[in-house]
Amino acid sequence: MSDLAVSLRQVRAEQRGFWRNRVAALFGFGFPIMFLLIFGTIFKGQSTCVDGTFSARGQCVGGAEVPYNNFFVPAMAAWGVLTTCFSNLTISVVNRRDNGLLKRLRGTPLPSAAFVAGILGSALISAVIVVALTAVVGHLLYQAPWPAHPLPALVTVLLAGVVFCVIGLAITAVIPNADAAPAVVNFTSLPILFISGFFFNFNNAVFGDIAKVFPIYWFKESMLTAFGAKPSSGGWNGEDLLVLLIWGVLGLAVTLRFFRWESRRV
Amino acid sequence: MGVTTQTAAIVVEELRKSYGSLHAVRGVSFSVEPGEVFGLLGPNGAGKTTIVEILEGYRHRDSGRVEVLGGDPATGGRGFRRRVGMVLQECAVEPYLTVREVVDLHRGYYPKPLATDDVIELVGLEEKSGVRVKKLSGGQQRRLDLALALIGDPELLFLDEPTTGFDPSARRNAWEIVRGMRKLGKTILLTTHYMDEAQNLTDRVCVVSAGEVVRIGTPSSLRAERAETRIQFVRPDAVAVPKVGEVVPGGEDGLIAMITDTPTKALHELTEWAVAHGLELQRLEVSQPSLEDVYLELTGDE
Repeated sequence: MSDLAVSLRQVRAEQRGFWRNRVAALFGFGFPIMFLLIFGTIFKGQSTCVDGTFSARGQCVGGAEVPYNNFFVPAMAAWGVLTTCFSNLTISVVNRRDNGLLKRLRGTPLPSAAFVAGILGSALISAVIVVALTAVVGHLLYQAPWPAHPLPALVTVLLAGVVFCVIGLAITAVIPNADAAPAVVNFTSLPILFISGFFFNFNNAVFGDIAKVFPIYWFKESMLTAFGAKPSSGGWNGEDLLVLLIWGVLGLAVTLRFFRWESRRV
Repeated sequence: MGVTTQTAAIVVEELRKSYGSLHAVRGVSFSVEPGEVFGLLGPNGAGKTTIVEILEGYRHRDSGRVEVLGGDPATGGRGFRRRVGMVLQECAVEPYLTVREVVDLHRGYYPKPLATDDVIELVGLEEKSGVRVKKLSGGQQRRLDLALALIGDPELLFLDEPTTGFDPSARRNAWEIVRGMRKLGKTILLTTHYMDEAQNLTDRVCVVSAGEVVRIGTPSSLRAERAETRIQFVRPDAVAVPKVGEVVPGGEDGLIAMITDTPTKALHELTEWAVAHGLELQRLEVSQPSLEDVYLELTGDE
């Protein structure tokens, strides 16, 4: 069997495991969809000022005024990519490191690359599904437009998916054990989601600058662009994708250097 | 692999490994012949698992020579792992896949695997093949471990405490599987806590204690090291028992055990005494020392 065939079988096995593990599936899909339903309902019919602020007279200054859900649907789709690629993958890899599953695989001829291809491919499939589901729910319930630029949207989702998977692999190196994994994952993503303006647009120079250090902010920006919530030429913004790519390279370097296949012995 | 070699399947010479200040393995040497079932025995912390994991390629040695199937496992890579099967201690299997799915997935990792159904049947999991791994009992998961070790049709099997958690009949079944593997000419290195397992399965055993080899030999040669006979019976109430041999720690409460080099004389004295006192010696037993007795003496584990 070729390495490609083995990798595809790994993807299939990972997908099976993901959907059969209700908790993982719920964690990956539940949060973005749930918040879409809550905030989408609350702010339905209102508008937001993407990348700018409303002036005292209610004018959107320095940005583009769009219906709230035109902004919120791509933001929640981006969060879905984060939960499936970053949160789920990180927690599942640390669990498997703790319970010896990674060690077992190291004792078989399965190449490490094929194993990684399996978890990555599976996470990407889940990510595409969560983005599609978010878009459908947003369109049907909240009249959000379909993604204005489907190809840039798909490329952004896949690129960000890979980048956040790799960052997830890198971060396992600093997670001591499976008990700590959900805390580390949430602590490293939720605050950044808020300061990156995933839920509300805001104008705070300090938080805004901090957010721009992290890839989450740039991913949201590229999703807003691809979905048409931000004006662009053709749905691409090279700068966003470049920052994501740089973070991906950093993550890869850390993973290659520090990734552990076995839990630390006491 | 077609080519028959006369060289040993495993060669270990002066192997050493420390974790910080803990000297886990201190100059261990042994070799395992092709087709041999070789037992590594020793108490917890004796260094068994460290030795096995060095042979499996998981850990790097500090010094010494190690050769497994003609190569160094530390650098053997994929080619090496295609030729060996491992049952590790406490290693999970994907919980949400079924037995059949997992065995089939692993089957794809090897160039010349056995058939999925055959292996599932071999380990006695055919009735569980559609069940998710999560739902298996401890013993059933261990049998799945064995199936995953066998699916690649390995030349060499590492079995690190393969029957821990098995009920007696599952253990007998596992033994049958190991015997079957032996008949097929596989080399097997197994570690175990169970002396009856070593006695029943292995051609030779190596007893390690505190990181050093204390004895290598066939189980029967080890047993023969102690020529004494053990006499054991229920301690009678309210009478002092004559000492017809050296009193040793017995198995259960209420039993008294003695060992002697002159069993005929000792038994004669004992029974004469009992008859004279009108006593029946309950559960009287005369036996040769078991491998366990020898093992306990060698490892000082009492």
